Amino acid sequence: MRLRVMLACAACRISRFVLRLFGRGGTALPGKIALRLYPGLLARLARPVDVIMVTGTNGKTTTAAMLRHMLEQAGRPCLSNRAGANLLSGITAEFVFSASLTGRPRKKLAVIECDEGAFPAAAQAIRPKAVVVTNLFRDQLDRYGEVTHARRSILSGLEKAPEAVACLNADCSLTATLHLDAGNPCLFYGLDIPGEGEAAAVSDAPHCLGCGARYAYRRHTYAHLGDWYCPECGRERPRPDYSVTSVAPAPEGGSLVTMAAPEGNLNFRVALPALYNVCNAAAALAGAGAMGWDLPAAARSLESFGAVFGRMESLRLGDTPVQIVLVKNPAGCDRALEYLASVPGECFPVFCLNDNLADGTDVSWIWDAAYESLFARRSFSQIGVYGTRAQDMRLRLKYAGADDEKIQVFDTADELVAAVRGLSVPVYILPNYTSMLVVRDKLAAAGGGGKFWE
Amino acid sequence: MELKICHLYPDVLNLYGDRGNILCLRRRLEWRGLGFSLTELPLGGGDALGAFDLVFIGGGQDFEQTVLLEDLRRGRGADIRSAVEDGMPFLCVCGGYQLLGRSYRTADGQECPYIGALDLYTLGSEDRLIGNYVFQLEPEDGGSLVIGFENHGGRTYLGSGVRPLGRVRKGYGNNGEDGTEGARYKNVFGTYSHGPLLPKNPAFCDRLLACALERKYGRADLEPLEDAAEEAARAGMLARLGAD
Repeated sequence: MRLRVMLACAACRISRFVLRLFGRGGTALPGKIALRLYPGLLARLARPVDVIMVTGTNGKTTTAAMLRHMLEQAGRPCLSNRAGANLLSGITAEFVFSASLTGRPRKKLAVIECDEGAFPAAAQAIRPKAVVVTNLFRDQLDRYGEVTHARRSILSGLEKAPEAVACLNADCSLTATLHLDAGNPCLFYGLDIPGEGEAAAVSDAPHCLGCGARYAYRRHTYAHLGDWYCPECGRERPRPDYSVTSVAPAPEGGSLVTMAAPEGNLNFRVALPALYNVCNAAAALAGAGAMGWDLPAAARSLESFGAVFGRMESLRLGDTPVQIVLVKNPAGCDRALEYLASVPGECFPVFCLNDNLADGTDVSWIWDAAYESLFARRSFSQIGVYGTRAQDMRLRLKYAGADDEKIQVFDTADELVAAVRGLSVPVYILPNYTSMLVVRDKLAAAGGGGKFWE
Repeated sequence: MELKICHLYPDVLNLYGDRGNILCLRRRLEWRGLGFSLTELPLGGGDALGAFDLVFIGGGQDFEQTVLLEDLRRGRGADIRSAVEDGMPFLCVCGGYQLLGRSYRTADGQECPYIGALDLYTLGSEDRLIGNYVFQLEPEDGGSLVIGFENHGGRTYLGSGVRPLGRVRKGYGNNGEDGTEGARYKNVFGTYSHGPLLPKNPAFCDRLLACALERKYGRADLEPLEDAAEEAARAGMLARLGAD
């Protein structure tokens, strides 16, 4: 048994070494090889580690990075799947790399981001101490079929790790109602701020999962998130244990937040802009609470938390400021478009769309995102599109009200980077997942930055 | 000239960018200076379909289709049947397409009666037929190639009372066996190609609009539009699928 563990770990390390020789940053293949040699490897490696997992549709990467940042600020080493390798193979590889050659963990704590589809198997192997579920939106439907399918997947993972504390988003009916179906100990986080947000034109969760009646709302935050209840059977939003009670713009950027928590009231600043990052912060703090970490210190650390990997990441190419805002589904895209519409002055937006497996090969979702509202609010003298489905993006923008003659189609990322270089206006790139990897890589290469797995 | 378009059950049948189809109908009318109005009829919505010029029904999730069947039994099913017989143009996609058929039998043998407006039935299956696909419309509908994305567990089989909407060139279509895709009956166009079907298939969109205009005004003079972006998007996918 011990020999198999060592063998599988060695194969994993060697294959990563070889991949890197060829300039590839993958962790999926090394993990796959290791699991093939010893299927029980992840369970074995994770057993002595205290793990918090983060799953859900949007905000996983940012929430996991916030949790990691809390530990880093507290000087507590942890292992974590940083590069967004959030399937079983990538997670396994991460545990291998942080273990000794004999498979003994060198870190006692782990923050693991996990794809919804991979969650049942990963949760069963890892047996996490806590699980944060961020939300459920429509995403990559060709892979998982439906949003209720993703929910079933998360439920099944929770059932396979019954001792894990589930930290659930009270504002998302699909997520919050997991407490009715799963036997796990649960706690809730949510936004209790006055004011009315905007509901999505197409709700991802219009009907009560209990009785089928249409949900009503006392307050909308955005999309299908808010203070929901079922007028027929009485199901309603649970009272959040970690409740954000006020949000105000901070003079130094980001949001000033007040939160009521079981540990007492917290006042802190979330350095990242936009309301959805306040949601991510609330999710991370609930997770920190479930893990028993020092909550006031965790909240303070959010002040020094910057962007991660393509999520509102800012860089410079020569003198041109470039910001990358990852968009993967209508709910996230609408937030990004809102942000883009609020940018003062002239700017150059670039919309990137790939349809590789990791993106979902179905790109229909772009028609559910509210590009119309962007072009109703502002215009651009030039617009860029790029990706394997650049022409579909162009067509979407045309129907949204953009002037087709102002749309420039970039056939390669090199062309895109060349066009960006030397621009005097800021550039906003809205890519989906794999197009983000390519563009980010090219921008980093052109500006002398590092590769993503470092 | 104006078309009154009805989006039936937007609250439950709204998966996969169905809004793109409505938007396409709207823009291609507006770009020609023709009028457009949209009425969304949710579950329990009162209006009869006869008041409209074109009806769109989209695809949905399994969970929500059970809610829907109740509403259909309460009168909407009969309303759809009479509108279909009356020559109302319908575009029905995926779940909406299956619903117009006679029945749906689940993978474990449970029989679920549908509204029977079209002579076709669907058998459920665990493995889904997923991917970009291309089919060719029948000559009477212009014979153009239609590019779509299909994602369905159900296999649909056509009875003798309906014709196929087209023949599969690449992909699966109705059932992955007989080469048919979708169904045509009177002015009903049923298809597995979920939204956004129309933006990338402007000839098909115009065929639907012409159908509705002819029925309402006795003629349809649709000026040609500048379709450079549409053509570029089509060419890319046709080449990729080897269907060009």
